[in-house]
This record gives sequence, C-alpha cells and structure tokens, in this order.
Amino acid sequence: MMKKILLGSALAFLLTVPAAAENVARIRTHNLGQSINTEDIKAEITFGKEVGARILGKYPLYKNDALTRYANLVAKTLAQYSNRPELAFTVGILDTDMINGFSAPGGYIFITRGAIEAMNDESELAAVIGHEMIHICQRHIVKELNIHGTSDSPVMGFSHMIGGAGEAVNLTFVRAVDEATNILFERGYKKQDEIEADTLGVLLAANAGYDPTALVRYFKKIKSGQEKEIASITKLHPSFDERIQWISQSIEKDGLGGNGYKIGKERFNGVLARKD
Amino acid sequence: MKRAFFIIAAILLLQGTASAKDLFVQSVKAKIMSEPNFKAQVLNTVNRGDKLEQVEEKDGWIKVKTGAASGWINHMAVADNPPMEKVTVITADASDLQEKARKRSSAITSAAAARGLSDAERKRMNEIGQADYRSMAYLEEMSGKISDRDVQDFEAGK
Repeated sequence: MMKKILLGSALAFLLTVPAAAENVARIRTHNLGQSINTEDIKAEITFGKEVGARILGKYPLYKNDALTRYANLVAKTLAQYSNRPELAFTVGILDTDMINGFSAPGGYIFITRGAIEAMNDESELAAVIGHEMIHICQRHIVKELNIHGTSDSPVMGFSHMIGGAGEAVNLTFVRAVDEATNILFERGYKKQDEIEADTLGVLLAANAGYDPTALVRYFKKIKSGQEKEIASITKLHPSFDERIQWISQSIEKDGLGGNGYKIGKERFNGVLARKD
Repeated sequence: MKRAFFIIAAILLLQGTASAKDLFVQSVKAKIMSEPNFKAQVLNTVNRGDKLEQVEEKDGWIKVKTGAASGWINHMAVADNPPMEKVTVITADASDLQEKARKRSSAITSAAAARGLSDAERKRMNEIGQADYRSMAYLEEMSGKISDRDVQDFEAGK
C-alpha cells in the first residue's frame, strides 16, 4: 500500500515537472522581455535594421547632424530608464511635413521633421520618442508577428527564419519584414499596444525627469492642425481625445505630475535654430 | 519508508520555494515607494542589477522586498533576468559568415543573426528605392558616437 502511495506521489511529481516547465516556458514566451538571450536580441536587431531601411526607403532621411545627435541624446537619456538596457537605440529624422513617428524592433526610432516642427520643447520630443521606445521595449511587432529567437515558435522560428539557408527561408524573412512595414504604414498597432505605448511612454519620460503632461500638450496642439499633416497619425492611431483621456488617467493613477519636471524649451529651440 | 516520505515532502517544498520570484532592476535607477504611486513616500532607490524579491503585483506596480524593508516599484523598471550588456550586430560579408559557420557549428546562429537579407537582395532593394541602407548606416554611426558620459552630461543639462 505504502509503495503504491509512494509510486503515485513520485509519478505525480514527475508529471508536474514538465507541466511546470511548460508553464514557465509559456510565461517566458508571452512575458517577452524576460529570459531573452543574446542571440534573440541579435535576431531582433537584424530584423529591425531591415524594417528601418524600409522606413527610410519610403521617407527620405532628414540629414541634419545637430538635430539627429540631439534626438539620439534624448532617446538615450530615456533608454537609461527602460527595461531594455541591451539596446543601443538609434533615432532618425524623416524628411516629410507629415506628423508621425515610427519604430522598428531592436531599437530604431524615426520621427518626422513635421512632428518635430510642431513641438514646443524637449519634453514633447521626449514624450514622442518615449511612445516609440515602448513599442520596441514591449516588442509589439515581434509579438504580433510571433517572432522568436532561439526558442521554437508555432508560426515561425526566428532562428530558422534568419539562421537557415535557402530561398524558402529567405522568403519567410522578407515576408515578415513586409508584414512589419504593413503594420507601420497601413494597419497600425493594436489599440492595446497604443495604450501601452502612450501610458508607459509618458511614465518612461517622467522617470527621466521630463514633464509627464507633455504628450497631452502636444496632442492638443496637433489635433487642430492641418488635415494633410495629421492624416497619417490619425489613420494609424486611435483618436486624440481617446489618447488624451487614457494618458490623463494613467498620470493620475501612477501619481505623476507636479513640479520639478524638465521642459527643456531653451535647448530645444537652440537645436532647432541650428537645423538650417 | 518514513525517509521516502521526507524526501518527497522535501521535493514538494523545494518546488514551492522555486516559485518565489526574484526580479532584477533594469533601469539605471528606480524608486521604491511606500504605496503603488509616485506621489507616495520614497523609501529607497535601487540601481541597475540590484536583485529584489517579488511579494505581490498590483496594477502595474510590484511590491518587493529589499533587505528587511518592502515597498513598491513600477513594473517598467524590472525584469526576471539580470540586465544584459549592450548587444550590437556587426554586419559581415557573406563569405566571412560562411567561413565562421563552417569552422564552428555553434556560430551558425550568430552568423545568420547578423545576416538577414543577402547583400545582393539589399542592393536590389536599394536600387528600386524600397530600402535605404546607407541612411541606416549614417544613423547608426551618429548613434554610436554618443558615449554613456555624453548621455549623463546631457541629462545633467551640460
């Protein structure tokens, strides 16, 4: 009898081990940002480079060293407070009047010249960069395309996609890049991902010392702007009113706001004055 | 027989303790608050790499133990793995990658991870205006010129 109980207990234990391991694996897979290794990050960066090059194929680069360095410094300041210390983060300015921002996996952020010209100060730039940075940090595109590095994926293993050889593998990679650019330019992110990018982006900027109300200020300003200039941002994002509402609620919930935050108007104006 | 029971009990106990979760600070520094919001009292400041023990989670905030004290940290500042060093991808030409892969099978993933599209395909994308790798290289160069010290000075308003 005792032996049977023991055997039963041992069997139950043996059965729970793989089940628990499977659960951990599932949690790790879905709770992206956790248990990622260097090869996963390299794969993500490689993928992001291709997506970034596509973004620059659609919108030309605004080649201005002073403004580019400045935007990169703001991004790297924010990145210090992010949950992705392994990413270098690189920002480029796109030469278009359109107001929008884009991001590619692995740390590539693009803000349009039109978006920067509509800003009042550095805290607004930090808020917009923070929004794009959260799309990267939370791996919104990677999750939507179900891209993984060393771990197996039911849809497409990233290690197979870029680690394998042959035309079929390469085609899969190209299709994934196409799909990512389709999300950026046509489909837009899921609403939940936009909520996360807005609210956590504001939090990230505030942790770096920037005014948490900057994004709301910016949205209030651009929502009454030229239809042509905001057509892209309104096509790809929820309404400004909705966004202002959830950002305000998040600021209240997390106890952000108050005095002592940076606005950075002087430095922002100084760099913009140098751009020509 | 009793010993067997003890062994099984010990195994089950170990399984239980394994579920207690350690967290690692990813942010360069982060505040531990007395309540789950930034208006509460700051109890402590933790730094990148510090290990914390998760007690509970609530609405984007995690209650953690730091030594004898406990307080709340925002979830964005932590992850369940220690912070990683910066990862860079060096673009190598295809022949170099093939040589590495041939010499060392474990290098296959690394080599491939750095490859993505072939040079010929990149050239074609460039030519038809669907991608701009030269501008990407310019941006990476601009970003790479910025040191940690530059960022600290910038943050300090220098």
